[in-house]
Amino acid sequence: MPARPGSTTNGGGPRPVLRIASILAVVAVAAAAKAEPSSRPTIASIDLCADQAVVALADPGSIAGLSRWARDVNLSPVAPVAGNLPSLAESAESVLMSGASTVVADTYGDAKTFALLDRIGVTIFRMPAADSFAEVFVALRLIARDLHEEAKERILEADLSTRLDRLQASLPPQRPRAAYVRADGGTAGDGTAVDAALAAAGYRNLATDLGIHGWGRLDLETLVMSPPDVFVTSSFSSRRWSLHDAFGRHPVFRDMEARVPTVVVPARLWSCGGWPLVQAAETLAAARREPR
Amino acid sequence: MTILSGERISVHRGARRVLIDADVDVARGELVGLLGPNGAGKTTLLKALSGLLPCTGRATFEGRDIRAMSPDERSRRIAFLPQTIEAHWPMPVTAVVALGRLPHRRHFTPPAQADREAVRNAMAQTDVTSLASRRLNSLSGGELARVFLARALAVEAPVLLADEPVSHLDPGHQLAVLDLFRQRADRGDAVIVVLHDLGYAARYCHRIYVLDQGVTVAQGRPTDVLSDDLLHRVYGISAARASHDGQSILVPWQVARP
Amino acid sequence: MNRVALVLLLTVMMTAFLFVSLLVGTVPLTAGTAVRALFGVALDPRHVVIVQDIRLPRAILGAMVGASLGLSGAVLQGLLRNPLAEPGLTGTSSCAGLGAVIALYFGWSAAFPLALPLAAMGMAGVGTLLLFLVAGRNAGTLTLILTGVALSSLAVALTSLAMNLSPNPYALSEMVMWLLGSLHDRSFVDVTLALPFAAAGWLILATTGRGLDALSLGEETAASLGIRVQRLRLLAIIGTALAVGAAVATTGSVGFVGLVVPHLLRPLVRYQPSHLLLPSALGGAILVVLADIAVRVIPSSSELMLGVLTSLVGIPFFLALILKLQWSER
Repeated sequence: MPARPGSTTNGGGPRPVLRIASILAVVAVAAAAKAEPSSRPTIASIDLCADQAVVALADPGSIAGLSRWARDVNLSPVAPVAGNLPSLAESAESVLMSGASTVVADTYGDAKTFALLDRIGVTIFRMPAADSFAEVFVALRLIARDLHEEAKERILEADLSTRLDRLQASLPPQRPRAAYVRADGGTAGDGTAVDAALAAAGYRNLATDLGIHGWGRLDLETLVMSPPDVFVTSSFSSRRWSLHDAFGRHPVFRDMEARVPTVVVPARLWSCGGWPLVQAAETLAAARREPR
Repeated sequence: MTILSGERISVHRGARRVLIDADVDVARGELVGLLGPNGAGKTTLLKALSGLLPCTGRATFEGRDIRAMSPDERSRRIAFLPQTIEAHWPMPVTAVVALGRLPHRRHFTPPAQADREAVRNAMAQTDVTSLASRRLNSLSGGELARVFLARALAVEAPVLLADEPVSHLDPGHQLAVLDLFRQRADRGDAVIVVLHDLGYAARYCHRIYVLDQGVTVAQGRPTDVLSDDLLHRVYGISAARASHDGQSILVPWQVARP
Repeated sequence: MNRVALVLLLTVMMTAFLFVSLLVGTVPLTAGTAVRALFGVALDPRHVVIVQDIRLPRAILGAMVGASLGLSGAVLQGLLRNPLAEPGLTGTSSCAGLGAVIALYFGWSAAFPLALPLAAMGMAGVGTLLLFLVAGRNAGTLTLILTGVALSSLAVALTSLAMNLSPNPYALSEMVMWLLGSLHDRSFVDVTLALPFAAAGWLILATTGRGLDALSLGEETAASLGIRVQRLRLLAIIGTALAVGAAVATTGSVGFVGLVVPHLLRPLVRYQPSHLLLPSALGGAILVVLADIAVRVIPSSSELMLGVLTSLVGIPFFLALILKLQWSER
């Protein structure tokens, strides 16, 4: 989205890559420390959310492939490293060809695919969805246990926790009201990863204030009556016009958007409830410190 | 004075020729009949003369080729009454008859006094005034036929082409309608009617044309044309002849032995 | 009923429902507040924004869409001489939706904003033309409906294909929106996009009245009365394409309005096709505005689609009409 008067944007550019590189470096060091040449089962991920966990926890040499969204820069936080790894479809055939003996997937997905994989003898680990930081850690721990990488997970978790604590400490006392909006008027209320990140960055979530639980819709009239202090958006700049996005095209919303500061959080940081959520919170917090 | 004339009118339907080189004309003041067995091409000829069917040859109105006229001009000069009644919506009778005034009315203009009078006259002449506010779907076959005739009369065109206008009517109304046509002719209009009834043709028409399988086999005054020989050749019948009140009567009598 | 009286009554009803539409929304407003907000003199400037910029364009667009659908339904029924003809059933609306989707998802509308309504109208025209070519003159009910179903299914299938080919994560819910229509969050941008085309369509359709009257006596009689039947058909196709295309481009496909409204009003104009046109436009506007009010009033977690309501009314109506026609054809 182009810069607009009164808006702030995230740092963008090298910072996310640095973050991932640093995590991978930590993980690589831990792996080197162990230095066991034992044959690990080869691991594949077939879902976007599983990609993040697998890249963070699995030994890089043992990753047989990542999901077909892994290389999408807009959606996937592991896109920079995904280029070197095979891209898998969400099908049993694809997994078989990759040679993986373990598959990590999220909680959705075609039951038939999993049934088939199970019959072939592939081990399947399902990653639970995470809608809060606590749940993010729980999910990481579960997968780490499945992949026998508890040590790495502990290092990762420690790093993430430290960053969260630092974040909390650095926050100013005011809590501005933020409205997360999608082009179709969708918003995230109480009990979503977005809500968790907003809270961690010291914002009040307009959707939660309006009583919306989970993913819901912002009504334009309600927004006019209770305008937020800040808009938070992810992937607004869809250059395709669509009937669905009537909300985002509405002159009333556009006017409001022009007058109210907007923080852009890349979708890849919170498209899943995973470790990049911490970076989402950091991005949100950083926006509060930048001059308007 | 010939007002409508067709020269070498031919119509093809696919590879079949349904009308071959028909030469027809009608003058002001004439009531002309088109006769012939089923499938002879009578309806086809009538439609071609109205400009409703593509044909080879020339059809002219007062010397002007009707194809050179705009549909508006043509519709004011030639009124056409088809054989089959099509009435898709159950409109009131007055509205249906009023449709006959469309050639004289512009878009979006309300009906003029002349239009209302023409409608009234047409309805009076066909004896449907008492049916004025009835819906089409509540009328009998004969009543419908008269309403549609009224529609054609309301056009007040100098030429009226009618395809079997009396087939569905009871004898009383048959005579009334034929009298009406004859009156119009006497007033100076030109009328061409397709008739099946030889008796009526003989009695009312000034001239007749007899068609058989697309070809004009005879034309002239009814008494001259409707000879025993022609009746036998074209219809395969013999007729009984008589006279009444000085007029000749013709009644189909017997199927001829082959 | 007198024609003028009918038109006046429908106009009054339409205005009344348009006003009611301004009172309906998530933020409760009294009638007095709404009126003041409409004229810009409300105490709370936020109310002015809500009424003038959110509710008013929605109401106006609803009326425009309804007028287009009602009017084109009346014309199609007069032209095809069949009371079951209407833009939804003949596949015109689905074709318009296909055109819109193609323009959207292949990026034409990004390059050139008018591409969207133009594509919708173009495809609507193609669809209606195909209908004529296949079902043709004097098509019986069965042929007409079957042709409409075929066209509709083809358009929907191609729409779905187009969406599959485009990298759009919302493809499925977008399909629903195109197929069932919605006025949610429409603004004056949509109104100004659609209005010129819709108005042009209305004007063209209005000129078909005289010809439709004559056509009720059959094509030959109509031709003998000076009506150019081919031109009449062309005008009807173009007018329908413009009006329905513009409506679908902004709102998606809203079905059955063109079926229900002319049918209800026809006895009131004594079955004369030309007298049915303006009342059908007004009646269609009323129906869609009413449906849009209902959609906002009926409590549900996400707003109901407009087409759902018109279908709930329209489909039983359609079935009853088929039965009635079958019975009378016997």
